[in-house]
Formats: sequence, structure tokens, C-alpha cells
Amino acid sequence: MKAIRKDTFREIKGTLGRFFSIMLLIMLGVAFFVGLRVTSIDMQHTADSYLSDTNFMDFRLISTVGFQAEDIQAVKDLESIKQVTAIKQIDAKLKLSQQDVVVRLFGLPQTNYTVDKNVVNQPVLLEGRMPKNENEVVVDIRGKNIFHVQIGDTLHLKSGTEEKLTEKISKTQFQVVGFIKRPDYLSLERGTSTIGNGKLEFFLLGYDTLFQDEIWHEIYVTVQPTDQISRFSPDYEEALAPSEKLLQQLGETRAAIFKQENIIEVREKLAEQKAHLASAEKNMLEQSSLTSEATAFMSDEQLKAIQAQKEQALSEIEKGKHEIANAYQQLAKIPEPEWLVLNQQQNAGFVEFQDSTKSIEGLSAVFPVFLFLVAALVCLTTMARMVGEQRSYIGTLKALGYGKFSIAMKYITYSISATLIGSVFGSLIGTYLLPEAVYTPYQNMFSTPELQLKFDWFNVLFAVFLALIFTVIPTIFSCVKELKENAASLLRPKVPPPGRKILMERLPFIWRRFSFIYKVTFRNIFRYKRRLMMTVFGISGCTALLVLGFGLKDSIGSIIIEQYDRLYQYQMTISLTEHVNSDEFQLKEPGIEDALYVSEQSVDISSDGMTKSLVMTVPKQSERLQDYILLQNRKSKKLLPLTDEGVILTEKMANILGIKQGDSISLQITETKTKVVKVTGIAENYFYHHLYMTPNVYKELFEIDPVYSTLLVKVSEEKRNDSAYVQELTQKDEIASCAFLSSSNETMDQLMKSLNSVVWILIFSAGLLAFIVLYNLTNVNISERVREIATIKVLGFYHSEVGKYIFRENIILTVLGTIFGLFLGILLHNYTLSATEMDYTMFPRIIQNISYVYATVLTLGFSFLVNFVMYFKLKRIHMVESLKSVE
Amino acid sequence: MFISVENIKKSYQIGEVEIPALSGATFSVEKGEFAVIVGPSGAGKSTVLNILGGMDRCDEGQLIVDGEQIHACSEKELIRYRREDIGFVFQFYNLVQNLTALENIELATEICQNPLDASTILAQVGLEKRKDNFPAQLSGGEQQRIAIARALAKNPKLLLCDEPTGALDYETGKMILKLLQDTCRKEKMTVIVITHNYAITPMADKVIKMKNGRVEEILENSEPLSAERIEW
Repeated sequence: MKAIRKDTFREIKGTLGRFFSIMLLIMLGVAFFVGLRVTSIDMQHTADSYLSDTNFMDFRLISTVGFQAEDIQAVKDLESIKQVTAIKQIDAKLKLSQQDVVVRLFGLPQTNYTVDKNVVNQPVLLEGRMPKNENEVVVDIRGKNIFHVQIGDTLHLKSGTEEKLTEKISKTQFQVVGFIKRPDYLSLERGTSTIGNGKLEFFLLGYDTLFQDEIWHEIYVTVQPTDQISRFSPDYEEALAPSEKLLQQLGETRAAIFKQENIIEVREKLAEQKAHLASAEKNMLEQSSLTSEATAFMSDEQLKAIQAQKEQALSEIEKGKHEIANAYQQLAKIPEPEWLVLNQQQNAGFVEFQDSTKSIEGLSAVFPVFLFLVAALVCLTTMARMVGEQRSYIGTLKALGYGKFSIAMKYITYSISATLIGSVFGSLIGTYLLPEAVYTPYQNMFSTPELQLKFDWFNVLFAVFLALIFTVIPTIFSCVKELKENAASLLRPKVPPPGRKILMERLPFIWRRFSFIYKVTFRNIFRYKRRLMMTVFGISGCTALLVLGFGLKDSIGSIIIEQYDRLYQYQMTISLTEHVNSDEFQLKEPGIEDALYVSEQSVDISSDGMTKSLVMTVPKQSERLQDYILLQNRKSKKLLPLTDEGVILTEKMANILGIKQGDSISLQITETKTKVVKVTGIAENYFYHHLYMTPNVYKELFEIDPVYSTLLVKVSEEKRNDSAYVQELTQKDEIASCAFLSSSNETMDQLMKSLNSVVWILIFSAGLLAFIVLYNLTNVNISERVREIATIKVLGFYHSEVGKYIFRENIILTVLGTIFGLFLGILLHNYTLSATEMDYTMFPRIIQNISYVYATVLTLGFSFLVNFVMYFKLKRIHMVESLKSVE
Repeated sequence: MFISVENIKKSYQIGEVEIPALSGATFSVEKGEFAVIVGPSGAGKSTVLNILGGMDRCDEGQLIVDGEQIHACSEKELIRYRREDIGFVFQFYNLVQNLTALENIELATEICQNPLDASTILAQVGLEKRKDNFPAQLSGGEQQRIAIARALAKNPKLLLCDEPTGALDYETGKMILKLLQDTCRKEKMTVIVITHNYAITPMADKVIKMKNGRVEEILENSEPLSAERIEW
């Protein structure tokens, strides 16, 4: 046994090339497997610790009628509730960089909330300091990143409704003293509002005492036993279920109490008062009829006094009536009291983050498996060749009395060593290098901190286990035949595999044209199917990875072009000030070619229990919309007409909700009312989600006329992207803000930059894959055909002819693999995009022709490099080999 | 003199040790002659063969074939020499397994300038019916005949045979020797056979006996036997 082990290690030393090719492939496979799986685990882990450090809520409670102090106390009194933070808030408008943006001001009761561990959804101070008085606020970091708010700026809040802001809060001007983030806003999504264009842009955090009313808008709750469980595990939701039920029950009770106290009792009291008033009126009328009989005996003065009394009473009654009517009106305005208990699955940021981790994990099912498969094929051909070369050695061992198992162990040890060494490197790369690269594009989308890298034993061992299966089984498979033979037959030379006619020879008109070199090449290609598969697979994998790499850049890079150049036929949006009447105002400015009035508003739509928000666009003239926004089916390119039959939804949202043409969706009309509408078309769209409808459909749904305060504008060529022009337009009284479409693509630029690292990883992996596979193929081919090569050298072949004789096979297989790989690349590209794209983008399935060229050229380049290296090996083969006896 | 070997020396460096393989061999072969180089293993036969076949170079001495100074050739010229001037017959035939009999012959004819027609040669060795068979479908003797045909098809100046009967049985071996002798006589081909089998010597015009890296003796047969009549 010891001698065999020594022999095994000498074998490895003697065949380092083969050993390394198995090792490197396993390294690649394990690195991708561990890397992709661990990235999602690391992300979850990072988020988990960030969310628990900042005391992220388990539940968010909202009520249609707000919360009173008693309600908050009732929540606190529930068992299993750990911490409760009630918050006051108000939505307001803010004029920033020539736009009206909608923001939300939160007031928190504590002044030291960044340190108080009892605050749920603790704000994290990123810059500056926390507010020290009512005049100061801290601002959501998004306000800095997107709207360039700076510390020291003064923000003037304006009301978004008819009510004055000062009725709700004591101050409307605030100084910015710092920037924060909050765990309940994990992504860039800030939600919707009922004012302005409906899209919340960022939030502010100020003193609680600003708010006039003792009514709280939201209650954040954490629950007792959740510390040890990851928020991403199904156990978490299970652990929360009882508390969720308790809160819902409490909500029903409290809503009923509110209804009793504030509606029913008030109504009863009003009814009582009304009855009282009515009876008073009646009494008085009766009295006055009585008194009229008595008037005959009264003096004028007395009469006058009575008359005055009567009038006064009447006016009081009138006043009372009016008051009662008013009170009724107020009562009618109070919505049906209802509590909503929202868990983490209803927090947009959390869900987006969770989806991202899932999509990364999803990728781990494709890349590594493919690489392992190639590793298995390489292992199979390498081992088969090694066993074939060592027939007489195996025979000798057998003759010496070694058992099958101990002989097989040599080859198994060989492949296990390669696998284990490859796994160690692969695990390290997968754990410490890949996650950073994969996470980078996501880092711009989420407010989670730096990724915490963790060595994950489970996945590493799982990967090693898979790698072993993919190498040891082929090894056993390739030596089992030899081991079955007896010693004597092993010691005799192996009958060389017979030449056979291949299918192509049945086509003599083609076959006859081939020179003998081609004939040998083709017969070889078709004779060794495993090598054919290994090479075509490996090379196609290489090409596919390259297509993917370049394709990713194409797709993500073309979002802007596809969306803003092709689909959107206008270049600018202008928001008009409130008093402008769309029927009267005509925008006549140099540089403006044409414009269309639209109403834009964020709304929530839902289907099958899923709720998503999007931008709803209602054009004033439906028939003109097609000139501004190309509404068409992505695949059939058929135009989609906007009709009164229903609405048109954009593709990505339709996919998320599982909506097909002709299905219906629910539209949130007010906080408590939804209506169902039919989807008549699904339109191509790449950025954000949109819903288009005609004014008639809008009127039917919302029972009011749409307000056309936005203009889609076609700008003449020379004025496009001219910022002075924007300035000039904004000076006009009627224009609240205006912006060119392409200016808001910073996130896309960021994404593109961070993709470069991913592309380099893919190119590197592809190169390694191609190199290993071709090296292996050539190596096996050469070692198996040393005799043949030596013979043709004796026959007088020049070096270049010998090279062609051997490499033609490589070249043909490489070309075959490349062609196959281009198609595989398209599939891989498609899969990767759908697995990784964010909720609000759809990556165009575009691969530029030049990318195919790059992928092809690089693959052929790698192949050329291998052939070049192997050419020298070929040159070194000595002709004396041809004279040796057949082994 | 058609082939002239003059005081050729060759030694191999194996590790630290220099092992002399040829320590001065001198002989000559005339055009159309059937020569046999014979000797026990280690006598330097293979080295002579390698040098004659253009596969190796000598350290010292001269090799002149048809007036060409082979010992002074560059590597490229050596390849051309192998390509155009030498027909090589191997002990183990060395046919390309993936080519049919005819294609194996074409392997040679496609690279040289004045080849003979492959089918004609195949007929000459009596295997025209087997032209589409692969080597694995042929017997040892048939394979060797194909190998000879391959060597002849190049229309070489010299047919070099390395133990051509070494892997064959007695009868088949004799048949191959007859083919070589007939080729030599009819086509005026110069044939050099390298063997350790002394029994072959009576059929040669010239016998070059080697021992310990030197030519021990050169015999000329005025009446060589026909191949059918030799026995071993």
C-alpha cells in the first residue's frame, strides 16, 4: 500500500498538467458554487445584523383613523410585544432643484433616538448630528444623493392639500443638520403618498412636539422571541404568526371602540340634540301660538319683548341646526375605523432585498453545475487515458497480487487529491473574493452596510461533496474495465481501437474532397465521443460565459437607449404650477415642437394578494399618446391602442403580478376603496412600471376628472440636453419644474461601472475553462498518438504539417463549440437577466453583434494560445518513438 | 558510390554518463543493392538506422546519399531528405489506425513530389482488394505489405527496413522478404534491411556485420539466394 501511495504522488508530479486541469476546473466550479450561495447568505447575514442592530420592526400598524394614546397603551399591554414606537407624520411638498417633490416628515417622541435601544426602526446617523430643537431636522440620505440637499440648507415645507400646514405642525421651515438612514427603508423605494404626484422621494425626521394633534399615524412593533432567528428563514414568520393574530384581534377591538366612541355615540348624541332642538322648536312654536292669543291683552312693549325673545330663540335653533348639520358632515368624513397589521413581507425594501438574495442563489444552480459537468468530462478523458497508458503497470500490480481496490485507489487518490486541492482554493475564492464582486451592483440599491464575509462550512462541504461526486465517479468508471481484465491480458498490448467509417463517408461527394489530414481528423472527432463532448461542452461554456459577460453590459447599457430614445418619443417633462388650466394654457416657446398634456400619479395595484405601486399616466388626448410613448408588444412589435375598454400595463409589472392580456387588476382608488379594471395590453418597457388609461376610464374609476398638470414635450434637436434652456423655461410662472428624460440615470451609470468587475470575472473564468479543456484534449490526443506523430515525422512531415495534423481537430471542435456556445450564451444571458433584474427594471434582451464577435474572437484566441503552447510539445516528440515496440 | 558511410561516430548523453553508440562505422551501398545490416542488440544497428533515415545526426563522420551530404543538412533539409529520399518500413508497421489501407499510402504520396500512384502500388503488393479496409481489419503480414507499399509509393532513393519480419510469423516473414527482394530486383530499388536475424543474410547482395559500435565485417554475396530458399 505504501509503495502504491508513493507511486501515486510520483504520478502526480509526472503529470502535473493533467493534475492541474482537474484541479483548476474543480476550483472554478467550487468557487462559483460557494461564491454565489455564500453571497446570498452573507447578504442575509449582513442584513440580519443591520436590522437587529437598528431594531427593525416586526410589524407596522396603520389605522384609517390614526391612533390615540389609549391605542398605543393597548398595544404595549399585549403580551409577547417587546417594544412599541408610535410615530406622528405628515406628507408635504418641497421645492427642490426646480421640482416639486413629495416628502414625509416624521416626529419621534425621543430626542436621543439614535442611542435609545427601545426605539423601533432606529435611525442611523450617517453625517452631521441629530436635531437639537424644533427648528432642525435630519434628512434621509436619498435626499442628499438624488436631490443634493446639504447640511445647513433650509427646507420650506408646503401643504399638499387645501388645509394649511400650520394647522398640523407648528413650524414649516427647518434647517438640515444631518443625514440618516432607517432600516425600514432598505431599498431606494420610498412608497406612495396621497399628495402631489403621489411619489414619496425622501423623509425628514424632526421633533415630535411640532405636531399639533395627539394622534399618531403609525405604530412600529417588535415582538419578544425573535432575536435568534434569521429574518429570512421561514421559521421567522412562523414565530411571528401568533403575535400577528393578537395584533389583528386588538385592531378589531380598538376599531370597534373607536367606532362606538367617536361615531355611534356621537351620532346618538347628535340625534339626541337634534331631537332636543326639534322639540324646542316645536315648543316654541306652540308657545308662540299660545302667546298670540294672549297678545290681545298685552302692551306693545311686552309684545316687542316677546317678539325679540322669539326671534332670538329661532336664531339659536337655526344655529343649533347648522351646528348639528356640520357635525354630521364631519362625522361622515370619518372613514370606517380599521387597523392594518403589516409584517416584513409588506415592507418594500425588505422584500426587494430578499428577492435579490434569492436571485443570486438561483444563479448558483446554473454556473457551477455546468463547470462541474465539464470537470467530470475532463476527469473522464484524463483518467481513461491514464489507465490506458498504464495497462501493463496495472497488469504487473495484479500479477504481484494487488487487489482491484488497491489498484483503483491509485487513480481515485489521484482524482481526490486534485479535487480536494482545487476545492480548498475554490472555497477560499468563493468565500472571500466572489461575494464582494457579486454584491457590488447591489450595494448601490440597498442601504445595508459593507458585506460581512463568513466562511460557510455547510456550503463548502456541500460543494466539495459535489465536486468529489463529479470526479471520483468518472474515475471509477474509467478504470473499472481495465481492472476486470486479468493480469495476462493486461500485460499484452491493447488492441488499438479499430478505425471505422463515419457517417460522413456515406456522402462520397463530400468525403472524396477531403485530404487524408481531414479524413483522420474527422474520424478521430467522431470516434472519441467523450472527447468531442468534453471539448464542445467546455468551449461552448467558454463562449457562453463571454457572451454573457459582454451581453450583460449591452443589456444594462441599452436600458437608457431603449427606454428614452426608442420607446419615449419625447425628450422633456414639464410640471405646471397648480393654477394653470390645461384647457387654456398653450406652451409656445422656441424649441418646443409639440407637447401632450398628461396626468401622472402614483397608484397601488394588486392582483392575487400582491400589491405594487406604479405610475399611472392619463393622456388628455388618448389618440396622441402613441406619438409620445411607443406602446407595443415587445415580441410581436404590434402597436397597442389605448381604448376605453381598459388599461395598458407595462411588461415587467405584468410579469411580477402574473397578468396576461385580458386579465383584470385591482386599482387602489382611495385608502380603503379598490376597483377592478381590465388590462387590454401589455407594453414593452424597461425602466419603472407604468399604467396607461384614457380620461374616460379614469373618470369611471375615480369619479373625478383627471388633473392634467404634466406636459410631455418634444424638444427640437438643438435644444436637447441644454441646461440653460431648462433654466429659461423654469423662469416662467406657469412652469413648476422641467427636466430632460436622460438626466436621472445615475443609478444606471453606477450599475454599469460595478458590472465591469463581473465581466472581468467571467472573461477570466471563460479563458481558464477554454485553456483547461483544450490543453487536456491536446494532451490526451498527443500522448495517445505519440507513435502516429513520430511515424509521420519519419515520413517527412514538416513541423507545421504535424501541427495541422493534430490541431485541425482542436480547431474544428473549437469552432463547433463556439457556434454551440453562442446559442448557449443567449440562453444563459436570458436566464441570468431574469434571475437578477431588479423589481423595477427589465433588462432588454439585447446582445450587440459586436459582443458575439468579441466572444468568438476571444474563444478562438484562447484556443490559438493553447495550440501555440502545445506546438512546442509536439515538436519535442522524438521520431525514435516510432521504432519502439507497442506497449 | 550511391550511399557512403564514413567513420561515423555517435554517443548519447544519458544523465551524467556519455554512452558511445557508434565508434566509427564505415561502409557503402551501391544503387540497386540489397544490403543487410546485422548484429546483436547493442551493436549500433539502430543508431545507423536513425542516422541513415535522417532521424538523428552523427557527431562525427560523413554520410553521403546520392551525392548529397546528409551529415551537413539543416533540420529542415533533413525533413526534406526523409520526405523525398527515404522509404521507411517499421517493425510494427506503424499504420495510422484511422486511415484505410489506401489512405495510409496516400499519407505518403500527398507530401512528396514524384509519388507513384497509390492504387498501382497497392496492386503491386497484392492488396488492391483490401484498399478500403482499416489496419485493424488486416493481418500482420497484410499490414506490413501496406507499410512497404506506403514506403515505396514515395518513389524513394532508399528503402530502409527496421526488423521488417520481427513481428511476423515465419511464413509471412518470408513473404515480406520476398516482396522486398523482388522490389529491389525489379524496380532497381536500393534496400537496406536492419535485423538481428543472421538467417536473412544469404539473400543479401551485401552483408554488413556490426558489433560494439563498429562494422565488424562486410561480406559481398555474388550469388544471393532467393527469399523463398532461406530458412531460420
